Amino acid sequence: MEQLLGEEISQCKKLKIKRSEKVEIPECERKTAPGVITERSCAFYGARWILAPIEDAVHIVHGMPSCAYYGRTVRKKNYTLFSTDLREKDVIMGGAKKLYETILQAVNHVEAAKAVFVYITCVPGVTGEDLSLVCKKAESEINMPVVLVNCPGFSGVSQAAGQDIAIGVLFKHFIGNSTANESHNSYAEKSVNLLGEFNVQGDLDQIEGLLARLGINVICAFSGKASIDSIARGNKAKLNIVHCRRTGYKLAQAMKDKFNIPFIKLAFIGLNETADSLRKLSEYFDISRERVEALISEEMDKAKKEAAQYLEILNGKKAAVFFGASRMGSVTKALKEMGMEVVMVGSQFGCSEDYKEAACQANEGAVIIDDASEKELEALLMATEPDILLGGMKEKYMAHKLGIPFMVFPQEFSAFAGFSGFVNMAREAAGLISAPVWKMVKNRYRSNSIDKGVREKVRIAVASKSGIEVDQHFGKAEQFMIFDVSGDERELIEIRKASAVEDSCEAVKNSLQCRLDLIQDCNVIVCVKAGKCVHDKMQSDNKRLIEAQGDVISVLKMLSETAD
Amino acid sequence: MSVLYQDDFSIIPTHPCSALGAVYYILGIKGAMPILHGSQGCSTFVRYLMIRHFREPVRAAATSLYEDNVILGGRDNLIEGIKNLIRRYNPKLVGVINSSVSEVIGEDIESTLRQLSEHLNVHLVPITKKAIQTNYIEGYNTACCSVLDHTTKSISHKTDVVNIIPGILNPGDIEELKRILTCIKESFIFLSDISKTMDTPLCKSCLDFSIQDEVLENLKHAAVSKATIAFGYTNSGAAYLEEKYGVKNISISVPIGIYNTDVFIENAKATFEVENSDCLKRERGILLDAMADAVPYVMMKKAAVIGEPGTVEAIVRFICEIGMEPKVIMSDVFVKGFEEKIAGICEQYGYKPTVVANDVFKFKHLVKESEIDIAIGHSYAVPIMKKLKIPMVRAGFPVYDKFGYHRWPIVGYKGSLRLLDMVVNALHFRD
Repeated sequence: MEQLLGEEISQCKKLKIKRSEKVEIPECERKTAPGVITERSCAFYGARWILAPIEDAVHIVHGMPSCAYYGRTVRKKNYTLFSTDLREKDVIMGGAKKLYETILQAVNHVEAAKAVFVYITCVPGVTGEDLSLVCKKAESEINMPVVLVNCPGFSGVSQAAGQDIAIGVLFKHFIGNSTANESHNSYAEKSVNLLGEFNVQGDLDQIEGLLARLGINVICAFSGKASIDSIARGNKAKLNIVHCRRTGYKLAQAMKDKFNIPFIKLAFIGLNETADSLRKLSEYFDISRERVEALISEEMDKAKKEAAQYLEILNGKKAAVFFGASRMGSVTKALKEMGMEVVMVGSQFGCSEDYKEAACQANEGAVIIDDASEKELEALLMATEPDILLGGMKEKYMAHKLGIPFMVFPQEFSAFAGFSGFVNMAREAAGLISAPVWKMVKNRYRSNSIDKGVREKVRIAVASKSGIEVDQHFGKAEQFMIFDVSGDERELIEIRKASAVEDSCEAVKNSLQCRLDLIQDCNVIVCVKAGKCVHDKMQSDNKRLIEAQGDVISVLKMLSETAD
Repeated sequence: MSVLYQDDFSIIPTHPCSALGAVYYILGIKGAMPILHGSQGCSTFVRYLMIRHFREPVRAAATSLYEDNVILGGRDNLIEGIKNLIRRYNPKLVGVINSSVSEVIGEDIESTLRQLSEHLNVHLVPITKKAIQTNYIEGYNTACCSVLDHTTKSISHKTDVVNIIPGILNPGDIEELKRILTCIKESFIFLSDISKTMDTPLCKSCLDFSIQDEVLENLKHAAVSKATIAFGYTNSGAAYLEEKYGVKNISISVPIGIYNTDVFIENAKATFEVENSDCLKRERGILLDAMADAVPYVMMKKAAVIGEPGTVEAIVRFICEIGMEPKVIMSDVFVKGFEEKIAGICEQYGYKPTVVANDVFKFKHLVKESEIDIAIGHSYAVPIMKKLKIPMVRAGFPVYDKFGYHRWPIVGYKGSLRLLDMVVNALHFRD
């Protein structure tokens, strides 16, 4: 793999190739280029991601009615979402009055409502109406907190901005505001908060079950199992467990500063990871070693036994991972544990720690990418040829069309956390990979390469600066990617830098000559454009020069198809 | 009749944005791509909903407006975005759709595109009717008119081809419409054909956007056709072609049920000047046979219908035809004349339903009060019906909680038969 996209793609900041000497991290939290089919979403989406599961609160979208229409569904679950249904005249004249009326109406329809969240979306975000006074007024009228979640879609660079905003709102307005009796001490000793756990298909129940066996109870899971009350009591925890770094870390840090609650980063995905997490917890809470080890060995043996038949199928298979953010590290670890190779790791909005964690786990030569757009993912999948892709719903059908089985996250069927979650995950992956349908898909990327080695090898030089696309003129090419192609087999031999020879070239004409010398062993040259003298020279040397644009892999594929 | 239809505002709206309608239209043209001038969420939410409905890759790009663009203007983003899109996917037509945010900050998409198109060999179509005030029906209409405006040319001679503008229908519906039309005369073109792009085989070439097919070619010839058949409220394209080129505008209801399908087939026959065609008679007879058979199961049952206004209107008539009482009717969005049309249909059968628009909340209460027996509509109504324990038949867009509903028709005699089967099964033959 490291040969295909090149190990010296120094220009492409968001893509790195793993090499053993040092782990390079893609530059993250950058803006998305306009015009790509982005896998990212907006801040409002991120805020909903965090706040939607809080069921004893009223959720009101102040903005276009369609934002409420789409925002109702979070992690494939439907929630009640009110809207102020802004129309044109409200945008012009101001929508504060409408918001006030909506708050009063909506509160009547949610039993046991304890708070109101008002999401500010794009349009009121632009008009900049001051709504805090309205919220204050409504607050005194309905006698419960009304808080603004200021998450217009254009803020930040991805949904992560909205997640931070939502977490900030919870921290500022709710955590530590418990009015419950202070002497109520049932969670005094061993109580924790889980930060960044969303209880998909019972993940949280798995984790809670394991913790309960060690006598640890969970006060609040942000926000898979969070109510206004449990959030308010969150400050009584003795320890914060950060399960998802992206959504949990900032809150953990803030709670440490304000309430002096220590935190640790743990994960409950994968057998070893879960076992390690339990050990760390027991150490922290001074639980006897025998008790933990007994629990671990019992569950571990059971899980290993159950998973054995699936691991046999998965052994040596190649996996690619493209997630929202920080699960990519722990899932990568779990995949390795299943005996799979991880050839690509990426996320929409991960932070550098996430990438570090994932990169350490990934295989040698794996691609590590931040904010891949749909087209880039397609190119990377073609290049890395994984046996399975793990990711969100949006990438699913694109992967299918490429002939790659796909595992959806958040998962649809069973919990993936804890020991039994590992078995579930292995079971699903094995089922997907070994499904008969993939053997019937004719144009799967590898099914064409039957006559390996029979065909003659052709050496091709591609003028590419980015390493992804053919993007350079011959005369100005900074580097060439050198491929050996035979049939459908491609191998990137090396990357040759023009700068290495250019210093010795004096005149312009010589700079062409030195480029020709640089790639004199190649039979075919691919570049965006080349001057007439290069064309002539190539012709006289009986070589081919192809002017093309687009991504390198497609161009090479096209070449090998037309070569026959 | 109720006063509920036109109300100030609703606290739980179902209001797909105009961008969704525009994307829906553009996706029906192979080789064309939509790009949304707005925040990333604008395209991602639309994509997410459509992917879950169609179970296909949906490609809609965004210009990714960020805070600085909102303050300083997004023109550069738009230009770079279009260039990026063309470089990566090489489409033949790009529909540039405005969003509420680009409207509020006052982006001039038309002039930017005019300047850009001088340098680019691609159809750049601005789809920029008011994004704030409008909904997906108008979005579809705007996209249709804008694309036609861009592609058609005035030619004096006329062919005997009929244009079809299908509207918010599923791939299965379009396949069925094609089958029916082929039975009559194979001389029609679709001005947007989602069956080709949103129901594709498992093969890599489906991801290639540089391939155009006849839909884009057809669009150029839409002006010389004999007539345009459009369904429901997504008929502005037909009106546009009539006004500008004198192509006859045949706006009819979505062909669901006996009456509506009859009207569709008669109109098609009249336009094609085909006298007699028996091939569909048998299908009609089978539907009537099933309707007679179904009477004891469905008669006097009260139904609620929710969905896209055109489809809802047709389903309401079909419900009346099979002997059920339409009781609560909800259109996803407010469209002019919907209430009167429903009233007119129901009056023929002696019913007086309550009509709401864009308000799940009121719909829920009405359903609860009216002791509804069955509901027909899209997936957004499912949680309500589950709570009230009312059986539900999924139809229309979006259906994301059942497998493969986009593949099967509810139009034509056969489609209506399928709808009838589902209704009877939901009422009486549940496990």
